[in-house]
Amino acid sequence: MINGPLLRHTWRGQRVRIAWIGLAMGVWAFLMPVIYATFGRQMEVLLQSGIIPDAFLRLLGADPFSLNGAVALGTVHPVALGLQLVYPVGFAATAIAGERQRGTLEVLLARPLSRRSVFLTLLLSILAFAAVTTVAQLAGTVAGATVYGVADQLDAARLAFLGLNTLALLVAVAAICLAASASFDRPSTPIALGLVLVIGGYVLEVLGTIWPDAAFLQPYSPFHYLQPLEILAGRGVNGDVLVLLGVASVAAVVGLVRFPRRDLAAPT
Amino acid sequence: MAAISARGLVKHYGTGGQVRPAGLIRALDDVTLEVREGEIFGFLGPNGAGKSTFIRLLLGFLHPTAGGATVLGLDIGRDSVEIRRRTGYLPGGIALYDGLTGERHLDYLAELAGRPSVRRAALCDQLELDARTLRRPIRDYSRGMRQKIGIVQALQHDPELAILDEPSEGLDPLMQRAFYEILDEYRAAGRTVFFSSHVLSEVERVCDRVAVVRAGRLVALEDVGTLLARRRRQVEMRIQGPPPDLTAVAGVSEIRVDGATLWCALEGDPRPFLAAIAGSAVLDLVIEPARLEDAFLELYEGDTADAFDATAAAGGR
Repeated sequence: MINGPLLRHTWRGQRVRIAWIGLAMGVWAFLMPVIYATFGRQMEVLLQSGIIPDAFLRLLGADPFSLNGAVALGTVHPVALGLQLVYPVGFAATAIAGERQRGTLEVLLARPLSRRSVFLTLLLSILAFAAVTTVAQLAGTVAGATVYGVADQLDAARLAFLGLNTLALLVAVAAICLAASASFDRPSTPIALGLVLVIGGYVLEVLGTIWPDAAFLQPYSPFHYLQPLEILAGRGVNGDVLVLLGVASVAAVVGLVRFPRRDLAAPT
Repeated sequence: MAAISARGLVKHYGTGGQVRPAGLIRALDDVTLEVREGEIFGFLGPNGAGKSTFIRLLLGFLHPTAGGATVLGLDIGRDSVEIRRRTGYLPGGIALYDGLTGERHLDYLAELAGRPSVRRAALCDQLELDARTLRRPIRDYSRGMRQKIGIVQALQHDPELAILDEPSEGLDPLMQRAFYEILDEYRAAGRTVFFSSHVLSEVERVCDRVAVVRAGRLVALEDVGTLLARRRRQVEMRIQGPPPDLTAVAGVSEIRVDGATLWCALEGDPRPFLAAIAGSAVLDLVIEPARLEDAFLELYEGDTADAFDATAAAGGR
């Protein structure tokens, strides 16, 4: 079901971009242990002084300036999420609808490959891109902690679980955006859906965190199922990963059913 | 075995039904035809008549509303992937991957086809696509060069059936001639070509048989020769003395006489007409040659409005 030439073509076309994003992700993650090692003590004093509002502290997590807190904050910071989601949203939303709009989907589907194979191959490509950025994030974290001599405070198994949970989040978002891409003739709608999912989800999660009355909205956000601080503190739950993989599976099934059944009229 | 066999193929778009019948677009209605192995088959009709819809149904881009078809003996619903493995397709107004070079593009599509590009070198040679051109990115190509790449990608793996949608679009006259030679060679090798075109002179030049579609319905399916023989030709004749009586002659109509000149329309076999004028003193005789373009226009005569309404309704599909 996975098409080798399409997979290679997709990789070849994106390798420079994904390398840059991976590098940026690695540098970002490298900075988190550096910030902790350099400013952790001063920040702790600042927090204990009581001048930072509780709502803001809740947003930062219960333990914002421990190494775990710094790494967790770095994981769900908008900069990190922006870098991580370039491919699961930007690439996935345009992967099929963009080719359809440009007319190149015609040329691709004139070859002996099924639409399901195209969908699965693209999903696998995005999964691989997400794995690159996630591994870069973990590698950057470990490198920063090692260089600044705080690596002993990191738990390898918990870090690996954080990577798995992050990957599950990216795959869920990617599967939704790819299913949308397979359902429309223009990429604008899948892109809009992806942005609503990501920005709306982020707002719901933040809102629920700083305003307890809105906490009931958080389960509707994909970001609710990635709790880095809990994971790094050893309180991560498999259920979050399962929910995200469940969402990814449902979205993939929708795409796999919908795409082959669609009529692809001549591009106008 | 027929290369293509369609049986009552129907494709409707939109909602239709009793609530919103106006929402239904009949892109293709009850089309039944057979394309024989080893022939070049022309598929004619104005924009929106249903040509591309028919092709897209054959290749699995669209799903039929009713009816069915086989391509190379394979069912279009069940065996779409296998059909595309054995078929070469040139879409109308082909879009290519602009970031790739011509060579890389052809390599990529050959990899996807999973068959060796046994005819690429010969095709590139015939269409004057040299190695230097193929190393340039496609974004730098002119429309004609893109069309050449489109032709090569459709035929490079020597498919048993080539489905070509407006294949000579954008080619200059020299390249059109080279393309016709490619089709002649292809036919000589026992391959089948199904092609849609607006350019009636090229259909007349290369096709063995033609089908004409109008507003989604098949209105003619004949040998090119038969279609031409059937069409009405205009006759102009200068005579010395009284004009011959042609009123009862088979195939002759619209007779007009003005002085020494006689005009009439001639349809089908010309021999009864020639026998009828044999006794007259004919000074000059002009019988307009039969052209496919006129035959095509005759098929649309009187229904132009319908045809163009359908064109608009089908939105170019």
